[in-house]
Parts: sequence; structure tokens; C-alpha cells
Amino acid sequence: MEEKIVLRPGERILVWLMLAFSIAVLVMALLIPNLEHLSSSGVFPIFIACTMIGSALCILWQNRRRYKAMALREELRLSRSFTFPKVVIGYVVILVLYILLTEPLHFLLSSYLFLVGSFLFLKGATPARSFLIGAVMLAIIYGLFQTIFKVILW
Amino acid sequence: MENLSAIQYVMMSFVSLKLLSLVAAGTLCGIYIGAIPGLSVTMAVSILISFTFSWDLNPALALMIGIWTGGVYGGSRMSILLNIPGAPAAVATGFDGYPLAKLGEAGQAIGLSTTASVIGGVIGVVAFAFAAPVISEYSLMFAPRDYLLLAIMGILLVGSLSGESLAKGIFAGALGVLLSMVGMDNFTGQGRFTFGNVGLMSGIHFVAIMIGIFGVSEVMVQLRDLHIEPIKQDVSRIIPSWRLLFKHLYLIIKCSLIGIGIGALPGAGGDIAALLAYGHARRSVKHPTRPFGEGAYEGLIAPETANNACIGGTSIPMLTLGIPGDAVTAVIIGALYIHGLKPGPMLMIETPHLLWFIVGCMLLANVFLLIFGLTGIRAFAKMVEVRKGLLMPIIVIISIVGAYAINNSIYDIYWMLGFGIVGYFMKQYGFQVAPVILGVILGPLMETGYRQAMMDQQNNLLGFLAQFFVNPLTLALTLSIVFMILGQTQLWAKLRGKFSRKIS
Repeated sequence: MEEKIVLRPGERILVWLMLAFSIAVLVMALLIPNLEHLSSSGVFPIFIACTMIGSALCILWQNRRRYKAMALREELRLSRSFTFPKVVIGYVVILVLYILLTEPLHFLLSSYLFLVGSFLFLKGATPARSFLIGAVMLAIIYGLFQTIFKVILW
Repeated sequence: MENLSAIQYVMMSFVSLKLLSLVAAGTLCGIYIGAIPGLSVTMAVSILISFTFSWDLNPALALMIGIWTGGVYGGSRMSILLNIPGAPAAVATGFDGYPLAKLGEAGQAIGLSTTASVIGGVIGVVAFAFAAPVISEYSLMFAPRDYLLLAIMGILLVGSLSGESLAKGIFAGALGVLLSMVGMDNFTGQGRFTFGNVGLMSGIHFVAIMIGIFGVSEVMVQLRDLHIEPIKQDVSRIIPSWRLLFKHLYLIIKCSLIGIGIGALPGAGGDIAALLAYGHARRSVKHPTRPFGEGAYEGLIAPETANNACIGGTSIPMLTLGIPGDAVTAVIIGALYIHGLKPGPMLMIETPHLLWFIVGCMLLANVFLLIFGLTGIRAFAKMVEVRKGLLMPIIVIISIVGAYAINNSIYDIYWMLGFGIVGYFMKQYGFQVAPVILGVILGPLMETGYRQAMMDQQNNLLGFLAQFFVNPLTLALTLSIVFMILGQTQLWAKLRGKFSRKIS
């Protein structure tokens, strides 16, 4: 059953990675101790890993002609712009930095820097408005969660 | 005389100003709590227990029921406006609700979802009041193998909705089930997929996965289209016409019954009810207003009706058997225990008035749901008109706080980010992310069903397989699954083609 959908560069690589991941899961499931009978801890994970392997193979089989239409090197080249546009990469970097800095800098400072940085990076507002909106939004979020929902922010 | 007393208890919350205000406040708060991704109704009710610990039972119940009813509905708002479900029960709402918002019909979508929710909610409450003993007896007939089949059916159904390929849906569902198995095995206490890390023994919280895979990944996908101007939402026509409602009345009633039936099954909540109802609408509605997945009103009405009707359904095993239908009812059972009550068959004998009081509060909450649901939409709809460069960072912060609030742990934020990236890749390459969440939720139910059924047969494989064909109920579920799988194959398409040619 061939799918009548557009070719997405990098899909074949992702499905192969998923297959490799599923095989690794199967190996880990087989290593779960006390695999003595059919209701042991490891049996259901083995069944799930096999389901994942089966469905990944099925995806590869269903799309074999579509995947063959593009050379691997060409697919790799195109997948860079398709999957990793600059704005996404840049924002993920900001997000990772925020999450890494959030513990040492605490919630208020790290979140304020993140909000202002994000507004500027995504061109959501002018620099002056970014600082102002960031402060107002953070005050609302902090008040809402800390006071009303009793979430103890770090 | 007994009937008169029941009516008095039903009307109690309508005539007492204090109870009326508490139900109103609870419903309003519930709508907004439900709309915020990561802030679940379960969490809100859990926090509420600490506030209402010293209260009398009736005001405490009035507030909790208000939040519960409002929260289940509130989850749909963000699903429609931003495709980020506020709660698992709102996952299916986004399938057609979000395309409607993208078409500029957010107001109509919210109005329709409100009305459908209220009708479904009222039908659910009526069913709860009058059919509780019958339905709870029926749900007692379900054996572990039936739960296993029901869970498989749920995942297959969502997988088949993925449009592109059932195989992709099954992979996503299986991935979700795998994630639910990370941590300590509930049967043996053995660690699975923990890599020796003690922190992983308690597993990965599904809310962190949900926020990541829906919230963060959606932000990343939206970043690709930053330059696209936001669609102006038409919220001038919020109240749906009688004609539109009457046209879909049959679907509303059918989906309400699905919601009640699923809700009455212990362990199956609004999320499964909504997805099953969506699947039902997709199969049964031959001429939808638009194709499903592209803004069909039927695709919005079905899940919204079912998840609110489910509230009545989940209350049946909660009160009559003391078994929670879902996470919220589990918390409410805890609250009842705190107030000195023991939910179960004896509760109906010792304090029968409680049922009627709860019924009254639920009906009142639905009245307030209609009022609050159809007002204040303009402010909500304005959210989608805000520039993405401003909106996305705020969503990220709310998601991060939501993930942190689960256990007050930074690790849940790491998980959320990780699953956000996984969700982004899945969305980019045509994988549905909803089956992942369904797999995470249904995974424990599936595994427990499988292992109990296997243990019932002393680990005999043939005996285990034979179970699926001996009981009429189990056989019906087994055949449904077989048809679901066969229905997606080329062989079935060929057979159907041949059959229709013969007829013509």
C-alpha cells in the first residue's frame, strides 16, 4: 500500500533510526531478569518492542519506492533545511540555555532573560517593549502560579 | 416521599446562595485551569483538598464538582485556539477544532463545543442519576482480558486516525506504551528501562510527556511559520443556531452514550471516550460539513459531547463501587475519605442523599458552564491574534512551570524539553503524536490486563488465547479489533471494491 504523500527529506533516516531504537529496546527487554513465564516483568516489554520493530519495518516497506526516489546524500543535504531551519535551531539553543541556567539563576531572573531574549530573537516586539512586556508577563505568571495555584517556584 | 427527598437534595445547591456561589466559582476557575497546559483538573482538585479539609462536606463537594466540570471543558479551549490540549480529554477536540480556528471560526468552534459539552454533560448526569446501579453491574462483568482489548482498541483507533499510515500510528502508540513501562514494575517491584538510575524508578510523568509532545513541539513547528500573519478570528457568532444543533442532535446523543458507557468502565476516562466518539463520528457521518481533520463540526461535537458526558459515567463506579473511573475521580474518592465517607455499595445505602446532592451540583455546574462558556470568548480568541513572536515564549514559560509543578522537580522540565524535540520530529515526518499520549495513559491498563489474564490461565498460552473467543463480550471486542486492522489493509479495500461492483 504505497502512500500518496509528498517526499519529506530525512524521513527514511528517521525511520531507520526508529528501527535501530526499537531493536535496542528489544535487547533491553530481553535482559530484564526473571523471564521465567508469560506473565513475567519482561514479556510485555518484549511484545511492545516487537510491535515497534514490526511497524517500523512496515513503514519502510510501504514507502520503499518513495524512499528510493532520492539518493541518500541528496536526502541528507535537503533534510538540513527541512528539519533544522535556522530559526528553530536558534530557538532550541535559547531554550536549552534557559533550562540549564534556570536552576543557578532561579526562576525570576532566568525567565525574564529568556522572555526578553525570545521576544528579540523572534522579532515579537521592539527592544523597549520586549523589556516591558517581559516584566509584565512574568509578574502575571509568577503571581498566578505562586499565589493562586500554590506552585512553589524555584 | 423518597422522591420528594431526592428532589430536595437535587435542588439544594440551586437554592443555597453559598453552594450556588461555590459551584459558580469552581466552574469558572475550572475552565481557566483546564485551559492552561500542564495545569490539570486532577492537580487543581488535589490542591483544593488541602483548602477544603476543614470545610463541611457539601461546600467542599460543590467547589470540587464545579472545578471538575469546568476543567474537563476548559481543556478544549487551548486545543481549538492553539492545538495544545489543556488536558488529555481535549486531544481529539484539536483534530477539527484547531483547523476551524485556522479558518477563522474560533468563535463558532468554541460556541459549538460549549453547547455540545453542556448537552453531553446534562445527559451524562441524568444517566448517572437513573442508570447508576445497572451500568455499574455491567462494568463488573469486564474481565482483565477485556481491559486489554479495550486499550488495544483505543490505540488502534487513534492510530487509524493518523490519516497517512496505520503503521505510523501503531509505532507511536507502542512508543507511548513503552514510556509508560519505564520505572518500577507494579507487580514485582522490579525496575525496567531505568539504566540503574534511582530517579527513573518512579517513571516519567505523563504530564511532562504531554506538555513536551504537544506544547513545546507545537511551539517549534509554529516557529517555522513566524512570518505568517495571524488569522483574524470571527467571534461575532458564538451561539450556534438551533438548526445546527438540531442537525447534530442524533450525533450528540450517540456520543453522550459513548461517553457515559466508557466513563462507567473503571480506568477509562474522558480521553478514551473523546477519542472513541471522534472515531465513531468519522465512521458514521457520511457527509460532514467539511472533511474530518479539516474543520468538520461533527469532529468537534463528538469528542466534546463525550468527554463531558463521561463525568456522569465516571461517577457511577466512583460512588457505587468505590472504584475511580479516572485520575480526577481517584482524587475525589480521596476527598470523600477525608470527610469520613467510604465510597462503595454501602455509601448508597447509608447516605443515599449524597448521590442526589452530587447530581444537583453537576446539573448546576453545567448551567454555569453554558453561561461562562459563551461569554469571555473574545478575550480568549484574542490570544491567537497575538504575534507568534510574543505568544510562543509565553507558552514555553507556562509549559515549563506546568512541567515543574508536577513534582516540583527540574528533571520534569528536562523530560518535557526532550519530548518536545521528539514530538517536533514526529510532526515533521507525518507521525501523529496523540497515539503516544494514549499509549502512555493506556499502557498500565494494557499490561495489567494482559498479566492478570495470563495469570488466570496459569501462564498457559493456549488457555490465554482461548479466553478471547469463549465469552460473548470478549469475542465482540476481539472481532472489533480484527475488523479495525483488516479495514486498513489492501485486501479489505479489494474485497470491498469487488462487493460494491457486484451490488451495482
